[in-house]
Amino acid sequence: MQFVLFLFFIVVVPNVMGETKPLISLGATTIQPIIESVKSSYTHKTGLNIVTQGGGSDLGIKNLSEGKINIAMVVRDLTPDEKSRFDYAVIGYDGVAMIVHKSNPIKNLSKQQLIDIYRGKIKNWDTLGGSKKSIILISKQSNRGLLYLFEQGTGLFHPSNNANSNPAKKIASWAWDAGSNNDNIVWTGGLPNAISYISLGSALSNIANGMPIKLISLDGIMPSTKTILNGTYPMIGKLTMVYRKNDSDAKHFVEFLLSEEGQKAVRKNKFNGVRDAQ
Amino acid sequence: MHNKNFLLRLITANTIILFIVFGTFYSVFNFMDNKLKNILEQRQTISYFYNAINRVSSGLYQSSMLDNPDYLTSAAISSNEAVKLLDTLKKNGFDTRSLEENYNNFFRYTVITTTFGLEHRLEESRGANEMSQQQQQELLAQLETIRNEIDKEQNRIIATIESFMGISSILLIIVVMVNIRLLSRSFILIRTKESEQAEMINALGDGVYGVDENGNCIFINRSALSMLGFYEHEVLNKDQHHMFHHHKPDGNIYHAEECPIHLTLHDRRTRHVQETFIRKDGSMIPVSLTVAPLGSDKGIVVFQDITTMKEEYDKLDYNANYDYLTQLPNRRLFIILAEQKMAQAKRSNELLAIAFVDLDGFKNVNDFYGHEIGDMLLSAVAKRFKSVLRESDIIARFGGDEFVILLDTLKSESECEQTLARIIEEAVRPFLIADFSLQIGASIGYTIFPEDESNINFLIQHADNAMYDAKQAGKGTLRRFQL
Repeated sequence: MQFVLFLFFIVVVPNVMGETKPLISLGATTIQPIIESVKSSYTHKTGLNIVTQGGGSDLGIKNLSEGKINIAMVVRDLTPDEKSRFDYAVIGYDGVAMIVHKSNPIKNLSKQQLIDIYRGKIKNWDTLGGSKKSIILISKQSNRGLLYLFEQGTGLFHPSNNANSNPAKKIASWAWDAGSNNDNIVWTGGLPNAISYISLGSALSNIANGMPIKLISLDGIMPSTKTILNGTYPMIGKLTMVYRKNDSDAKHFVEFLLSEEGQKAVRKNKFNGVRDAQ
Repeated sequence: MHNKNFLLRLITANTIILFIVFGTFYSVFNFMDNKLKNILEQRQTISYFYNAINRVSSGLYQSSMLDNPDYLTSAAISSNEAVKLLDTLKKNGFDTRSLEENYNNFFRYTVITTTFGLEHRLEESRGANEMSQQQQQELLAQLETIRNEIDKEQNRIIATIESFMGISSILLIIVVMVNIRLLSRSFILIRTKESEQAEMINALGDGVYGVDENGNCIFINRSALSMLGFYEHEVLNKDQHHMFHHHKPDGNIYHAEECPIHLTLHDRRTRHVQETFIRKDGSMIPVSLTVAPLGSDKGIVVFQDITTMKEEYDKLDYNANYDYLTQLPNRRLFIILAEQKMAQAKRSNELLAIAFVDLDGFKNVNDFYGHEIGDMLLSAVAKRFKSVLRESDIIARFGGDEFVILLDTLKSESECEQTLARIIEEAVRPFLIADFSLQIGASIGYTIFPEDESNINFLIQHADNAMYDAKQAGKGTLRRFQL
C-alpha cells in the first residue's frame, strides 16, 4: 500500500506544482467535476491552464480572500459580505439528495425521521421498517457547502458548531464527517447500512456509473430537475463561482462556464443549468 | 442345541456391540464432520473477506493513483462483498462485532485517503493514509487471530475424531479377541466332546458304524471292525452293503433295495432287525442290528454278534422239544408234529394211527439193575423202535417207559397192525446192555384217524385207554381203541 501511495505522489504532485500561473479554482467538490470536464478544452482554446481542488465551499472563500486562488467554488448561499467583496455567478442548481445503499428497502423518509436519524434518536434501520442493522450515519465536515444546505433544510447543526448549544439540534457526534462528495458516495455505496446526503448531480453521475446507491424521497418528494427548479424539493443549492472583482482571467473562465459549452458540461454532470429554470 | 444357542447369543451380542460402538462413532463423527465443514466454510469466508479487503484497497488506491473516480464504484462493490461475508460469518455463529467495527474504520479512512487524493489535497491524504494503514493492520491482525483460532478449533476437532477412531479400533480389536477366545473355547469344548463321543463309540461292545446318504461308511468303531475282520481304511468311504452285507445266508444276492439300512436312509425310520453280515474271510455272522437316521440324511447302525445267543437259543429249543435220554421228540413236539400230519392226512384223505406203547417188565429191570441200566435200556429200545418205522413216521417218548407212535399214510388198518406187531416183536427180543441180556416186552393200544376223529390229545388218550385194555388182556398184546 505504501508503494501505491508512493506512485500516487509521483503521478499527481507534478501535475499540481508543475505549471506556471495556472488559473486555480478551489472549493466545493460538487462543482469540481464540472471544472475537470471543461478544463482541457478551455486550455486548448485559451492556452490557460486550469487547476482545480476540492476542500469545501468555506476553504474556497478563505483561499480566495487570501489571494491564493482565482476562483472559489461554493454551493452554499453567499453571505452579504461575500457578495459585496467579490464578483460571483451562479452556473447551475443542485439539490441535496438523501442517499442509501441500493439494497436498502427504505424508499422515503419524512423530514422528521431524517432529523431523528441525524440527531441520533433513530439508530437502527428496523425502526424505519428496514433490516435489524445499526445506521451508519454520514454527514459532512463543518467547512463544506453541502453541510450548510443540510443545516438550512433540517435545522440541525454540526456538533462542532459552537454557535448552537441546543443539544436537540446537534447532528449526532458519531456521524462520519465526509470531506468530498466521493467520501459520501463511496462510504454509502460500500457500506449497506449507511445513509448520507449529497449533491444530487454527484449522486446521479455515480448511479449512472453503477455505484450501488439510491436516492430516497423526502416527505414523498424525489429530488429532480423539476422539483429543484420549481422549488418543491426542500434542500436546493446554487453552484456559485466566486472571484475577485479585477480578475479578468477568472471572469473569462466563469463566462465560459455560462456559455453554451460550459452549461453543457454542467448538465453532463447531472446538474441543472442556469437557463433551465426559465 | 447348546452350540446353536451359543452361536446365536454370540452373534446377537456382537451385533449389539458393533451397533452401539459404530452407531456412536458414526454420530460423533458426523457431528464433528459437520463442525469441521462449518469451520472450513468460516475459514473460506475469512479468506474471501481478506480478498475483498484487498480489492477494496486496490480499487481505492487505483482511483487515487490514476486520478480516476470510476474505480471508486468497483471499490464500493468489493466493500459490499466484504460486508456480506461478515454477515455470513455472523450467521455461522461468529461474533463479528469488533471485526465489523474495524472494517468500517478501515473502509472509512481508506476512502478518505483516496478522496483527499482526488481533491489533490496531498497532506491530508497522507495523514488519512496513516490512519488507514493503522486500521488495516489492526484488521489484518484480527483476521490472523481468528484464523489461528479456527486452526486450533480444526485441530481440536481432528484430534477428537482421531481419538474416537482410536477408541473404536481398540474396541473392535477387543470384540474380535473376545470372539476368538469364546469361539476357540467352544471349539475346544466341541472337539473334546467329539473325541469323547468317538472314544465312547469305540469303547462300546456293540458294533457301530455310520453311513452317508449313498450308503458309504463314514465311521466305524473297533468292535465292528473286529467282528467283521476288516481294517478301518478298507471300509471307510465304501458302500457297506457291498463290503459285508452282499449275500443272504442261503447264498442269494442281497439287493441293496431290500436292505433295512438303505430303507432307513430313505424313509428316516428306525428299524430293529436280525441280519447276517459276511466277514472279510467269507464266514457269516448273525447280527441283531438297529439302524436309525443320523442328522438330516445319514444313518447309524448298531449291531451285536448273536452267534452264541443263537446257539443257546437252538439248544434251549431242542431241550424243550426232545427227550434228552432217547433223543426222541417229547410230548410237546409230538403234538405239534402230529397236528401237522393230521391236517395233511385229512387233505389227502389218508389214514394215520396213534399208538401208545408201554414197556412190560421195565420196572423190574430198573429196580434190579438200577436207573443207569434202565436209561441205557430205554435208549436202546428207542433205537430199535425207530429202526422199524419209516422216515415219515414219528415216535416220541412221553415219559418213563411210555412211547407214542404216529404212523403216517396208512393204506389199511392191517398195515398198522403189522408195524405195531413188529414193534412188539422188537420189544420182546432180548437187549444186550452192559453185558446183561435184558428181557422186556411191550403192550400197545392204538386208534385210527380219521375214523377216530378227535383232536390229538383225545387221540392220545384213546390210544392210552386201548393200551390199558391190552395190558389187562395180558402183556405183549396189541389192542385197538373201541369207540
